[in-house]
Order: sequence, then structure tokens, then C-alpha cells
Amino acid sequence: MLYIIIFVLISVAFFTHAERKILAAVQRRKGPNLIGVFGLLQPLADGFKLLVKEAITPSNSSKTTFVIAPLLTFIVSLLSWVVIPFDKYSTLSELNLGLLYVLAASSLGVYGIVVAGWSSNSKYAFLGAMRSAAQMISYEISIGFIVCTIVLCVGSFDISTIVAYQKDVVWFITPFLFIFFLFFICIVAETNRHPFDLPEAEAELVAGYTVEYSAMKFALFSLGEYSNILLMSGLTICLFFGGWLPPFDFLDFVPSSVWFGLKICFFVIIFVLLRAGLPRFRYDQLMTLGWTIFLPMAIFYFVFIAFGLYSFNGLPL
Amino acid sequence: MLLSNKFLNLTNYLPILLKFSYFKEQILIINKSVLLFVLQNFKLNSLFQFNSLVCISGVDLLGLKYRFCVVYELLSFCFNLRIRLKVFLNEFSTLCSISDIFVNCVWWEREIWDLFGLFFENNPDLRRILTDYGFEGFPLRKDFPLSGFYGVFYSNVHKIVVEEPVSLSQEYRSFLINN
Amino acid sequence: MLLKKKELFKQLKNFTLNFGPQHPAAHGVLRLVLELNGEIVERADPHIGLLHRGTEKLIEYKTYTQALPYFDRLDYVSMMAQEHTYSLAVEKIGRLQIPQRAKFIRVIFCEITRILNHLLAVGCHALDVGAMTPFLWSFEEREKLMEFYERVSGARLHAAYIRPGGVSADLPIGILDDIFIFCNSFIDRLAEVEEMLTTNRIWKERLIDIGIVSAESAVSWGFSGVMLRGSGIPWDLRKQQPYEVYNELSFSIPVGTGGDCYDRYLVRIEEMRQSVNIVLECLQKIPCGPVKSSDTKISIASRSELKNSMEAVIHHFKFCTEGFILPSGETYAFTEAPKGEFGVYLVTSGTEKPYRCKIRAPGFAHLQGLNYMVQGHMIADVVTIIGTQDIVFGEVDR
Repeated sequence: MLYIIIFVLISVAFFTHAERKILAAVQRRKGPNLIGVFGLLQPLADGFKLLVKEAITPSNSSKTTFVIAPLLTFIVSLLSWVVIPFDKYSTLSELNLGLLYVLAASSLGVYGIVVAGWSSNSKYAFLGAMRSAAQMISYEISIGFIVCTIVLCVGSFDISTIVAYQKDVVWFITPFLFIFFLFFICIVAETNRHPFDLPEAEAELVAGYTVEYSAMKFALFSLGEYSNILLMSGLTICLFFGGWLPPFDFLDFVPSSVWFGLKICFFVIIFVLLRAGLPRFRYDQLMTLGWTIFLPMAIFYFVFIAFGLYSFNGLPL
Repeated sequence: MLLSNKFLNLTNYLPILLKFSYFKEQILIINKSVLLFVLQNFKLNSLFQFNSLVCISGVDLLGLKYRFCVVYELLSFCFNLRIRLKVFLNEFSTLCSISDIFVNCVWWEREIWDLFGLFFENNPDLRRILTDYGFEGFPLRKDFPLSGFYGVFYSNVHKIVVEEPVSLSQEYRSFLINN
Repeated sequence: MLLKKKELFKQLKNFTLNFGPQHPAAHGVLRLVLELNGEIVERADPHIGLLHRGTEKLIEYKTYTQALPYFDRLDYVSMMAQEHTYSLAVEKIGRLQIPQRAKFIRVIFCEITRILNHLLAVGCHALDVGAMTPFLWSFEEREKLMEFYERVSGARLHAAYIRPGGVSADLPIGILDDIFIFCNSFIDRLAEVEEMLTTNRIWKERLIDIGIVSAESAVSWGFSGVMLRGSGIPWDLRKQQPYEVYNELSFSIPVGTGGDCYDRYLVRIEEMRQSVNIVLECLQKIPCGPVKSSDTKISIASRSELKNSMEAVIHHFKFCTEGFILPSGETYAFTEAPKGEFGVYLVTSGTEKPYRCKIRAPGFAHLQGLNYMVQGHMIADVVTIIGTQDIVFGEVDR
């Protein structure tokens, strides 16, 4: 368990650095490059700064919940990592209902946000928290339906089984390309990431529900958010890209965890490029998209696949 | 610019006094009682169609009987013409606001009220616009000194922002070079 | 006492939000008090004056040359446009003729200023809406243009270059070639920015049908510049009431149809292209000659003249101590600044200092119309609309 936590935290730290560097590359400038070679020690400096910063607590907030909220977000975002397989034999816990567990844990993340916004006792924070929570819940439904589609094909909620299935048959990206795009966009929306980051947009609500947080508590929120992004990327890889499987069989001399890491890097780059290139959605457009476009498409696809499998006797069990 | 008092007294008898071109600019000096009528005509009459109010300025002519001059600058898109209307006032008279005719006069009139102290009747929203909240005085008048009366700064003693009378260590010198 | 049912529904749902002075998207210091009904804005009340520096009062205590740098600092993203207006006002009253070369240099730098301003306007607007990359690309191009400012005047930003009487100094050798090279590569950069934004579905969703201004409203609210042209009125002071050498140049004016933010964005992009064309045409047509008016009372004579002529020495002395004297009069000079119609109403009294200098800033009139434009929109749209009005507080507050 400790290894996983350490791995996740280091990845998150370097994810922040990678984000700044890739953004800079797109924007024709250099990112952080002073601290360490290529700025690689920048996350360390950032972390240290956040540790020693003064933590200001608003006087009108309720102190206990104010402290609990970032802890809740952070812990919940680490919880789901136990079921993600990095290798054939290195899942921390091979739950039968691994996917369901991941969905449940990500739903718990909403609590952390709501508690944060409520306990900050500020108009801006409250608005931001409500919007963020509503956005996350809306897109989780579509994620649920798409996940069910995959499960229908495989017949098991266990992630390791899904990955093993992709070894025998084909990576799910090939038949389910369209649904992969849908899933990916829902993930971007679920993690409050640009272009769906209106709740924490600078221009409108100045950091949304985290506006009253400073120093380590803010760091915990950030860590939680980035860890969530990595988690969702990991989930996408396991569901669509074959998890730890190499693309071609003759390449399996490279250890599987390396393939997993490479695929996560690919997704990290895509997340950052989305942030660099696209404007933000307005909140009502975001919700319209989630409820009137993505949800019907996800349900339709689910029903379509179900009928297809049923008519060709392809349903597992 | 420096029109004598007798000249301006004529506006009491001839409401629209003078039209003279100056650098191919048209200037009309009108009496304040006909201001609304003239502007209404200029906006709506199809021969004029001055439908855009460009600017309202105030000028303080200290020392004259009619101390203030309010200048309305109009623009006609159809005929590609500009015209300037000037109304001369003394310190205690008020002007009628033209917000029924030109919607965008509100802020210009607020600015003149704030900086000169000229009151506009029927202005829907006459409050200060450029000066600080709680500022006293009318800065652009000629008898208001350049350095002002009060200065706002952070006091290390009280650890708060305070307002104190301006005290210059050296008196403000103005050099008047007489030819 | 029981309340009747209809009285129970009288509760106001208005929620006042202070879009405070310190806000990343408030484009400077704007305190906007929004009355919201849920997420829809019912009323917006801009409180300005937080950047009021007393420019007009200060100008009354300075000579004409000393008052010139104040105009740089009004709209601090398009500097030479305001200097140009002021110089035109002074030249009108003083009945000065400026040489042809100076006029062409002024037009080149006015158009460069227009490109500078629109790059910032589009970049910052995109940043407010959420796209952060065009902002940095535009600022890179602005750096290249500010290099031209620096070569010609010594200062990247506030170049007191365009002065009454002409221009302060002649162009250094090689700058026109570099401007030519810049113009040719700029078209590609502009195409990159456009590729990022114009066909982007999210951008279009955020901008189309937001902040619609009909043509009559635009005229009645006193809008000018891009705000008018975006609503379909083909009014450009460079064409309608030309000044300098604009009547000799051929360029077209982009006019929008819908009056929404998207049209204004497209108008700005196209205006940048037209400015590049104007600059290229001026580079072809610019004549050789003096760059300052030959009247040495207004513009300082050259060193060689000072060594030979007594009058030049006297004029130089008077200019540097007292400043030049303009006959008494008044004028309203106007130019098509990048943001709209920038006007200077100058009243002189026969002394070396202006008697009254009123600055008509386009941003003031546009911000006045903000309440009209944001009604019925959401908070996120308020940011979009402020960005499309291209408000810079230096000129609004003076």
C-alpha cells in the first residue's frame, strides 16, 4: 500500500511539472528550468513552499470541517488506486467488483468538495462548490453507463479480468473508438479539468471552492485533483487501451509496468494539451452537454451493444 | 474663447446666439433654457439627425460672470457632420439633464458633477464617478489647488490607511514667464 | 398573522455580487456590482475612478510638450494613438503644417499601434474566456512590435514620439526593412491564432449571441470603433473624416452583421490584416524629407542650425524653458484610435499652458453601455462582454 501511495504522490508531483513544461512548449516559452536540470526539482520547491506557508483560516468558518475537507478529498482520491493493475500480478487487491468500487470511491469525492465549499463560509466558495459537485455528479452517470457497456462485453467487474480479456481478443479501443471519446470527455469533466473547469476558473470565480484555502490544505486539494486525473487516466487505459499489455506481442520483453507508465504519460500529455488549446465552457453549456448529449448517447450505445451482443449470442455467462 | 460678459448677456435675449466656424468647426452658443429644445431638434429633425452624443465637457472660466461652460459635442452619421453646443452658466445655476434625449449622457454628466460641481436636474443617477468615495470638493475647478487638500496614505503609527491634510515641505511653485 | 399566499412570493431573489477591484478578469481596476437573479444578471453597476490620476488637472499646469507624455499613459496598450490625437489638436490650433514624411511615419506607427492593441484585446479576451495559448502567442508578437517602438523612440511602451509639429526624430536606418519582414511573417502568426479560435466550437458557443448590440443602440449609447462596426454600421473615421494621409491609402473596413461578441472578434482580426496592408502600402509610398515642422518655435531645430542661426538659438531657449505659445481658441481633435473614437477637446488661452484639455475616451462610453449589454446574461458572460468592449482603465479613469 505504501508503495502505491509513494508512486502516486511522486507521479502527481511530476505531473504538475510536466503540465507547466508542456503548456510552456505550446505557448512558445520555457517552463520552469532554473531549479534542477530542466527544472526537475521544481515540484520539490513548490511542495516545500506550500509546507512553510502561513495557513490562513477564515474566522467565520467552522474549523473542524474546514480542515477535514481537503483531507477527505485527498484520501478518497487515493482509495481507488488499490484496484488498478500495473502488471499481471501487481494489483494491490483483486476485488471482484473493482470497477464498481472505483465508481463508488469517485462519488465520495463529491463530499469533499461540498464540505469545502460549505465550511469556507464565503459566497464565491459556496457557488463554486455547488457547481463543481453538480458537474461531477452529472458526468459520473455517463461514465457509469459506458463502464457498463465494457462490462457487458467482458462479463466481469474485475479490472484485471478486463485487461486480460483485451489480451486475448483486441484492445477495446478498436471496436469502441467512439465510446472512448465519450468516456474521455466525461472524465475530463468529472475531474473538473479544462475545458470543464468553470468551478475553479480564475476569470469567473477565482479558484472556486478552494478560494479560502492556503498552504498545505490547498496543496492537498491540488494533490487530490491531480491524483484523480491520474486515476481516471489509469482507468481509461485499463478499459480501452489494454492496461499493462504491450501493443504488439513481440514487444513483451519490455516490462508491463513500463507500458502502463508510457500510456499514462500519453494521457497526461493529452490532458495538458486540452488545457492549452481550448476555451472554457460556460456552466449551463456544460450541464446541457452532460445531460442532453452525453447521457443519451451513452445510454443508446449501451442498449445498442446489449442488443447486438444478445442477438449474436455474444453475452458472457 | 474669452468672450466678454456683455456678449454672453445677449444669450438672455437671443437664445441661440452665435454660429461661427473655427477651423471648419461649427460652434453654437445657446442659452440653457433652450438646451433641451435644441438638442431634441438636432437629434430628431431629418435635416440634422445628430443622433450621437460624443462628449460633454465642462470648462471653468474663473473670473467671468458666467463661470462655467458646458460643451456638448454631437455627431451625425448620416451627414458626416460634427457640431459643438456651448452653454454658459454661473456658479449657482443648474442644467437640465438630457437623459431623455441621449441615453448615454448620464456618465458624462456625472463626471461634470463630480469634477466641477454643476448640478443636472433629472439625471437618473447623479453620484460621484471618478473621485474617491467620501471626497470633498470639486477638483477641476480652477480654485482647487493641484495638490489638493487631503492626502491618503498608510500611517505606520496607526497601522491603517489615514487621511490627513496635505502638507508640502516646499510650497508649490508656478513659473509665469511674462513676455 | 398569516401572510396571504401572494405575499409569500414577494421575496426578492436578487443577490448582489461584487466583481471586485482585484480580479484577474476585471481588466484593470473595475468594481462591478452585479445584481443577480440566480445566475442571470439583472443589473450591473460599474464603479470606476479607482485609477483616476487627475490627468486633465495636471495637464493644465504643464506646457504643451510636457503634457504630451500624459497621453501615452491613458490607454497604455495603444500609446501612439493618443499622442497622435493630442498632436493633431495642438497643430489645429497652432495652424501648423507638418511635412509629408512625418505624416507617413505617423500613419505607420498608428497602424502598428492598432495591431498592438488588437493583439492584446483578442489575447486577453481569449484568456478570460479560457483559452490561454493565443494570449501568449499575441504577446510574443507584441514584443516584436514594441521593439520597433524602442528603436524609434527609445521606450518600449510609452514612447513620446508623435509630437506637435511632426515626429520627435527620424526613423533609424533599417527599421523599414524590419517592419516589412515583420509584416510578412505576421500574417502567418495571425492565421495561427485564428486557427485556434475562430472555428473552435467552444469559442463560438461562448461568443455567438452574447452581448448583442443593435445598430440603433450602438449609436444611442455613443459607441464608436469596433463596437459600431460589429453592429453593422460602416463608420470609420479614417475613411469618413480622414486625417493625415489616410485619404491616399486604400484599405477596407470590416463590418459585422450580428452585433455580438463573435462578430467583434472577427472584425478585430480582420482589422489587423488591413493594418498590415496599410503599413505595407505606406512603406512603399513614404517620401524622403524632414520629419518635423520647419517652424523652429514648435519643433527644436537641429544642432547644425543651432550653430549657425541666432533665431534658432533663441527659439531653442524659449522652447526649452517656456514652451511654445498657441493663440487662444478651442478645438476638438479626434482620431480612430484602436478602441474607438478618441477625442481631445483643447481650450487654449494664449499662454504656454493649455487652459483646459478634455479627453474623450472610447472606453468611458463603452463601459457606460455595459449595464445595457449584460442584462439577461450570466456571470460568465459578463467577463466575455467586458473583454469584447476592450476596456483599459487608464483611459476610462484618466
